[in-house]
Amino acid sequence: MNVLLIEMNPFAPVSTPISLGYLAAYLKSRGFVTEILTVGENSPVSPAGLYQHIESFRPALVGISAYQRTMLYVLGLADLVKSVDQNIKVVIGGPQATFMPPDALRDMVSVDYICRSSGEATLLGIALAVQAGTPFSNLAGVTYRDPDGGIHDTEPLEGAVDLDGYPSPYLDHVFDLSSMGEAIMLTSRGCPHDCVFCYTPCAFNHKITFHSVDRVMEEIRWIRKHGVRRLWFADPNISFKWKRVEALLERILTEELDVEMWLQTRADLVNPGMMRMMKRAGVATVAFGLESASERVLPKLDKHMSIEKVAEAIQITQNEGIEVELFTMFGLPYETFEDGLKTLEFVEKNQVKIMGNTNSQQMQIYFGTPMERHYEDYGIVPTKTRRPPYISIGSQYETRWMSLEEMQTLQGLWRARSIDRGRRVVS
Amino acid sequence: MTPAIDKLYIILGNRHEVQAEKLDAFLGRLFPYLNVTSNIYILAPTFSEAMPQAERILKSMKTFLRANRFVRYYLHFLHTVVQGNASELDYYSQYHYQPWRRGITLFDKEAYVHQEIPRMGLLTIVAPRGKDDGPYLESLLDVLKEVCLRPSLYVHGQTLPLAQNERLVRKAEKVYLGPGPSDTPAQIGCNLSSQDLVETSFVALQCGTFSMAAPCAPSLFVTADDGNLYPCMNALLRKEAAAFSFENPDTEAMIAHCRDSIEKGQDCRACKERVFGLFGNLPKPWDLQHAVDALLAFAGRTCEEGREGRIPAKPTSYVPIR
Repeated sequence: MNVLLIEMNPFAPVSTPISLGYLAAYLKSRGFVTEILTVGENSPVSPAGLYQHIESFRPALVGISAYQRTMLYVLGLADLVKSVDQNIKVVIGGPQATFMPPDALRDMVSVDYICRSSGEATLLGIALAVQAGTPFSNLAGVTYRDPDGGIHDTEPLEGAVDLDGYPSPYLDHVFDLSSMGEAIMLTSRGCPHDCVFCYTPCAFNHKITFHSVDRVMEEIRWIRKHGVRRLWFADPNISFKWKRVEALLERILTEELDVEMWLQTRADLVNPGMMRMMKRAGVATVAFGLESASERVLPKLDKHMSIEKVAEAIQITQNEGIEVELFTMFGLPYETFEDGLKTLEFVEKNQVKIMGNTNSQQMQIYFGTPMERHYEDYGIVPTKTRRPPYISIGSQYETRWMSLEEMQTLQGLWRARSIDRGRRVVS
Repeated sequence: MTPAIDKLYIILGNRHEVQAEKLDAFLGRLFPYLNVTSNIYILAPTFSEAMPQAERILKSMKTFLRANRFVRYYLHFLHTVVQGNASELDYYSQYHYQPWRRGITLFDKEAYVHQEIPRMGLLTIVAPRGKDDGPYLESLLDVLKEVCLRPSLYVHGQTLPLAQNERLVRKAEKVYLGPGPSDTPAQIGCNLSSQDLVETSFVALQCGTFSMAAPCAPSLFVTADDGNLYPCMNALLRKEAAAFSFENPDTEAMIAHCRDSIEKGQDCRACKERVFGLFGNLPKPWDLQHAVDALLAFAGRTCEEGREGRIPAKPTSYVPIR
């Protein structure tokens, strides 16, 4: 049986679809024929080409990655799939799907399932059900609509505790490395912290799971062998277990793998020795989450991080000649316009270049986050009370402390100081 | 997968009424073969006369977009300004700009609901004929901005000094420079395509994927008066129309033929050298200057070394050119 996985983001260049890669590798290991289709802002793909491709590949199941910003395109693609063959089943998964209200299925007529739990196990369950000719039986980790229009939730599914249990999208030839400029790696999943705006801890039940160093090294060797030098680590906190990262960097150095790395971690998880080693191993950029440089605002985000700690981490990193990126937001709870200015001043004072990921943006309120569930408690005032059920509050709000106009002014100030005119290149 | 057309240049002439239905029918067949994010340029000798045809094209685009919710179009409309006066501005605004804008509000609403950029963008390319039109042009750009028809400026020959007018440039979304003759819509289309070639080549150069010999991203030039199709700017300049006209119902075969003709026969390297050379001789903003210098240096180096012209990837930041 064929399974087609699609990621469409018309607002950014195509990057390695690492999550879909894992799903494809897993289904492939269970005997399914899988294919990944990525469509970015410059992809040479036409509606006719897509239609013909689906028609010729003949998938029985199509999975589409769903993000708040791409929902319209996701639904359009689902319509296209059904126009090829009504019998093809369509599942949406990803950050927008995990905590989407079940009733959203009523407004998404071409979508059959919403994936709620760990992608590999959940998608395998759906694929097996479709293959057996009983697409709505023995399912877990999903919400689905039965042929009579009834909407059903199923029990959640647990993902693997040891990530090495999942086949590698690199080692299993899911990705074509010959056309890849940068390999995205995912050596751990999840986050144990409590930041009120973030989807990740909620989606992973505040747990973090890892690949072994051996497995990561095997992938890096393979990637280097195929000529790709740049590695982009998508782990939310790669240095959560320093001993593990230390072992990884040591082996990269010992084996002289000559890589250039981008990674992100928490500012309280770095020290000078670590940064020295990172520099030697080829880390070019480290991104930290600052969110806000206001003493009044930051503690309210349950990030448990001090502004001084972030400043210290920046200093340590820059001392080693490593580029720093800072994730920041405005429109946060308790944040006034003056607080917002402090964040901009902090970034400039600490000589972090305003470009790429350092371009600030308004906080987005996503399904499943504490901020979304208790938005009134956080002083969030949605500007639109009626939305399609598959769309969360997102950026359509003001706060008790900051008006829409003030947020727009802050956005303008950031753009005016941005080297790349506010284009958020990486994520 | 069938190659998708990235940019479509529709060159209108004087036979609007005769060709209108044929063009509509052709576009209806062509839209499925355009990139899911496409730029469509409507280039006409005079703004007012071309309006009925442009409105028909806009209507066809809207119909296609409504049926395909994963497609995004940017429609660029050339507005040649012969001589401006205030009453003309009111006329344009009342009878053209505002109705256009109203015609696509459904995409604005859809975008607002989904917190996205609208799937239909209307952009005007204002092409003044005289360099003394500065104050009038400022008013025109203001009017266009008011109705969210994001205006750009096209300057060439004697109007090139307008690109130094900071007040004017600040109001423009982008400034296009016309390095070649700009007397006809077809020539202007070639110049727009030339600047696009410089910009996309520079991005590719920075990413290490640029090749002097490789064909550009697929584009299509349609001359409405005679129904001819040209697979690229170079073919249009050489008047080498594809074997198909827009009356041919087999669109897929037509697109495949266009791609083949580019990949087999056209001299892409010479075309790029010509375009980079033309831009090299123009006064231009620093970022475009930087791009052209880098491309000329690369072209020269690869020519001297007798190489095809590819460089290995190197990490570098991407700064888009306005």
